[in-house]
Amino acid sequence: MISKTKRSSINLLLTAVSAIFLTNSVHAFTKEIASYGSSPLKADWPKTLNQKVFDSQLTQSNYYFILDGSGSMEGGKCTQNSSKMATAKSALKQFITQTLPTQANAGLLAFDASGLSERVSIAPQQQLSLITAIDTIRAGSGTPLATSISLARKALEQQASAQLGYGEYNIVIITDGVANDSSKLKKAINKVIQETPIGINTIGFCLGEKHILNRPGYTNYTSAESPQALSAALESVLAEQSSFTVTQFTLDQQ
Amino acid sequence: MQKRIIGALLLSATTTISASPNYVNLDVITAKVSNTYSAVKAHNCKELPIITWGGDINTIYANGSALKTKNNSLIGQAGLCFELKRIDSFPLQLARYKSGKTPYLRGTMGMLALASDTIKNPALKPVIFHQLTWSAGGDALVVKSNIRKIKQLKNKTIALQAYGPHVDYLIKLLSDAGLTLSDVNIKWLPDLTGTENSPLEAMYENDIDAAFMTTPDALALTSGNKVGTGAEGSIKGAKILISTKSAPRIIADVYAVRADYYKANPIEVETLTRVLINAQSKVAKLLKVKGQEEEVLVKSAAKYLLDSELARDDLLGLYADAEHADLAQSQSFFQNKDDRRNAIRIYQEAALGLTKAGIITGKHKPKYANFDYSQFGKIEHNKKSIFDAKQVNSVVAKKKQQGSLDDAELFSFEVFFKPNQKTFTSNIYQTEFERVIDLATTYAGAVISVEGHSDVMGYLRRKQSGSSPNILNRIKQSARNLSLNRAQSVRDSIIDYAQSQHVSLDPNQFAIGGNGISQPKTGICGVDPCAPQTSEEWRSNMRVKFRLIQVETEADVFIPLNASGS
Repeated sequence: MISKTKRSSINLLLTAVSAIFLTNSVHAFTKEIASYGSSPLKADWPKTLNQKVFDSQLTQSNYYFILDGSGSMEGGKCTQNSSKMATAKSALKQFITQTLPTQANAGLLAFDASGLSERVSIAPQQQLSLITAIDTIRAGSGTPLATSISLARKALEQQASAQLGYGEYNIVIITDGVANDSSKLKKAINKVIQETPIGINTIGFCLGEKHILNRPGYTNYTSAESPQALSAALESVLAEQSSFTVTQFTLDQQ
Repeated sequence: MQKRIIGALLLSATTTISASPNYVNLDVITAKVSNTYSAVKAHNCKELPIITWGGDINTIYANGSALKTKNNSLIGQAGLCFELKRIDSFPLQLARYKSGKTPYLRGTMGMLALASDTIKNPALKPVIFHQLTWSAGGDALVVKSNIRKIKQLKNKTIALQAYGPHVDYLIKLLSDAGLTLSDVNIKWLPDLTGTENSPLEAMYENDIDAAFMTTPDALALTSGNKVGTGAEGSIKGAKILISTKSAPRIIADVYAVRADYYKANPIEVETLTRVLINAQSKVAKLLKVKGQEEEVLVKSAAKYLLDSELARDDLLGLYADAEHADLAQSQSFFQNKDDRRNAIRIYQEAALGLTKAGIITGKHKPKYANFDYSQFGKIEHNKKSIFDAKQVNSVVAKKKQQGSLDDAELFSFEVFFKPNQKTFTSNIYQTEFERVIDLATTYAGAVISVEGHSDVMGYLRRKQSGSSPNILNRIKQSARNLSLNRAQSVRDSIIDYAQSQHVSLDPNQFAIGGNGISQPKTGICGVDPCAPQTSEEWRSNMRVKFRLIQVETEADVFIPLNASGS
């Protein structure tokens, strides 16, 4: 029989060990889970269906950006002349203005000195709103990635309801650090992987491969060690989408 | 409508313990109609039959809301005079028609087809000259729990009124399900509603599987268009399989006139037609605003058609259960060869079905009056969509997700295509496209679901080769999008093809959907689609399925009547 006090101590220890394990090992996440994509007969996402777009817009692509505005992004490590925040903002703006298709739906969520909130709701032709919102982001907060991913999933689910589940759905996260809600992060990511066709694309900025969101096979993770690499990583998100374009009937013979 | 339901409930409650209905034989009815012909009696005011139907409200209005034409009425001002006489029994009408008591017949196209053999004298053949309405909700097919699809009517016993309005309805439904009258057992009844010898009463008999009846009777049997609970006169498990709300281009109510009379009095017949079309337009406006004139019309029409001038709600329900033919519809019905639901086609459908069943010889061809409708007024084709396109897609998608779409399916068929096929032209799919046009125009109140399906091989190959869940996810979603695009392409091709045939289909009537690889024709093996074993199996997955979906109780899919269509 273990006493209540002892059990509590064990739990604390386990939590601490788990936290270290989660932080330092990507293997903890590579355990196979039943993803939505691995279940080809499953077609129950999103749960509510209420078309709000024209038929021609049903297969629209959706990109929901999460920009890390934590305090560490203010630092200049790994960038050339400016802070990581300035570099990330510059690269993201360049991607939005030059690469992101104008007809694609896009939204932005950020956590920064003014807190965690959706800055631009998901909609088509949001380029100007996105640029304006990105410019207002000021580094200075924790790294609530789990909450951010949950909010992004909900925003995309709402859009999916309007598109009756058709289209492409992507969360694009630009971050330089480790989440401070990592215990919840696994659940948030698993929920996306198991229940939705949303692709999680993480660009670890000046961080290397060891990131909690690097889950080979389940998420797309790119390590960007320079501003150029960050731009390239952002473009690769789109490149992967176009390789599965639905504008031509090429799938049958894949 | 509510009063009519209560009326039906009371009726059923008092008659469930009564004896079985007295079924009749069509030959017996025909025999009762005398074959003695007489000239039309000379009267200043000719007898004009009316029946208990919404379209006849317009006739009563045209006559000055009176049985005998008032001088200041539309008919009176046109210099005509009629005595309206309600005769709901078509054989009785036939008898009066042959004996010259009236030169006019009031029925449906199917009734006229059924009567064709009983009128042997060519000089007395009916000339069909005016369409009053399409039934658009007033008639329903009620089935017991052993039937959930129209094709399941095969070998079942169906009750319907002999010489009634539902003959056309039955023939068309059976035909679209690949059946004929010979595939079902029919029990004919002398009455349509309100007596012990009506289809409603027959449904209480164990040997009756289905029956055609008026919508108020159908509502009573099905606990208000749900599934009958067995309480308050309903029949446990009974449901409305389809009403003319879904199929508003089957039952056409018309007037016909004796050929000899028409030859002698063409101006009278043409003038009557013009006045009745004018009355249709005026009544439609009148019933939108309450006032003295509206009150007089409703009271008198309720008295003449429903035997009580207090039956206002019932009368308005009767009116709303029909789509009233305006000038454009009248012209299209009688003169537009491209109209898939024109008079010639409607009559032919009914006559062919009756001939195949050996009920009529099919030798007698109908005659039609041929008016210059442009002289009647400006012909305006204002076809507005009754469907909300986004809601149509949403409702069908929800039903599919909830697994209830099959329950709402009336008919279905599939077309197949080749890998990487980008276009779906009428050169290849003309037969299927024609079928869709026929279904879309006949069942204009039902939704046509166009569902694409994709090849499963790409996905299975990637899975077998160990592709990551991430990649599989994208392939699966792309397949879904691809199949939706295919459905859209097919829908657009059909609408374009219809346009080339001078048929205007409503795009909003089509629900498009993409199932991707989630519903493989090759079956399910564990959590995956089964891999095709032959080329034929492989191609079987690449298909578009068409389903006619009954959405009568889905109010959201319909644009409210007072809103503008898109």
